[in-house]
Amino acid sequence: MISASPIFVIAFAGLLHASFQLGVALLTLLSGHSLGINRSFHKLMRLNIAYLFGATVITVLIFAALAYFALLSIGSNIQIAWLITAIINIVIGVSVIIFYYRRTKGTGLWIPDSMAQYLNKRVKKTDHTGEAFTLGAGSVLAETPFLIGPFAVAVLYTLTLEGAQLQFLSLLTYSLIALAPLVAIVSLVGGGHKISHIQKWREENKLFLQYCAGCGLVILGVFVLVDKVVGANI
Amino acid sequence: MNSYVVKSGGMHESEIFDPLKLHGSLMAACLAVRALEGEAHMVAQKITEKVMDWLETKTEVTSEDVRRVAALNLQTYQPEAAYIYETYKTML
Repeated sequence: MISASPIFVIAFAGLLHASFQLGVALLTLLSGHSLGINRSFHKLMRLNIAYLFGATVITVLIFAALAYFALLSIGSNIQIAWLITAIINIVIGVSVIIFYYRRTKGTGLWIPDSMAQYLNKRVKKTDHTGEAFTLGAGSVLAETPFLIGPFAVAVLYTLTLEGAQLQFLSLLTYSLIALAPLVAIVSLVGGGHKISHIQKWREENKLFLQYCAGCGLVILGVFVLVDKVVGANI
Repeated sequence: MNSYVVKSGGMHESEIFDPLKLHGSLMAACLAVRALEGEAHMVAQKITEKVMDWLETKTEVTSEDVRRVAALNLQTYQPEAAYIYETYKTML
């Protein structure tokens, strides 16, 4: 039964991807800045949608690139690939629990101060859709050290599916779930919600999100270990 | 009397307090929480005046001090904007 439901594992990996906050933080900042300098609603939405599009494109590209790389390189070493993936997820899960958020007021993340300042400046200078697109893509790339865990699990489970249609469905499932928070922020801002409400929600729930993501990754790693490494050897 | 503002981190030289700069950042915080432009301008004006009154007896303050006093006063007029103004730098 477990091995018959890889799509649920892929959906769970997508959910873990969704709980990482750098992309959401940047989009909130971008929206706040756009409203703060009195940009028109049309321009605000254009920038936000470009940002979302950038994050979507790079998510799909990373997924596809990892799948291609796995197809080319793994071959008969699939057991080792599963083992490494399981360990990566457990290690990242523990790291997230320990230091994903800074232990200060606000929603400061693990990224170095200089990088946070640079990103802040980039957000302020974002005026064209191309820049917003790059910012969205960059947010996913910058968080790759954490996202590589759920990405790897989703890709390997996708490769166990037979048929291009099912594999495409899994890519779609992963991307839709992973990008759902960004879609939610774009919709909320477009619907007239205040940035302060979104930011307060993020701050009040940051520990919950941190522990969910961390524990989720550990659980996912252990699941992969049992399902594909230990289970395959019994 | 001109008050000098020491930038956070102490890496830059101190500069003369610029009320327009403070007004701009306060107005941006108000607009970010969807306050109307007139209201945002009025609130930013009031807070800037209050900060200038506070600066009257001081020769040198840090930018963090200015920010803290402005946020405290903004809390009275626009609590939502005060929240954004305070947490803007810690969103990332």
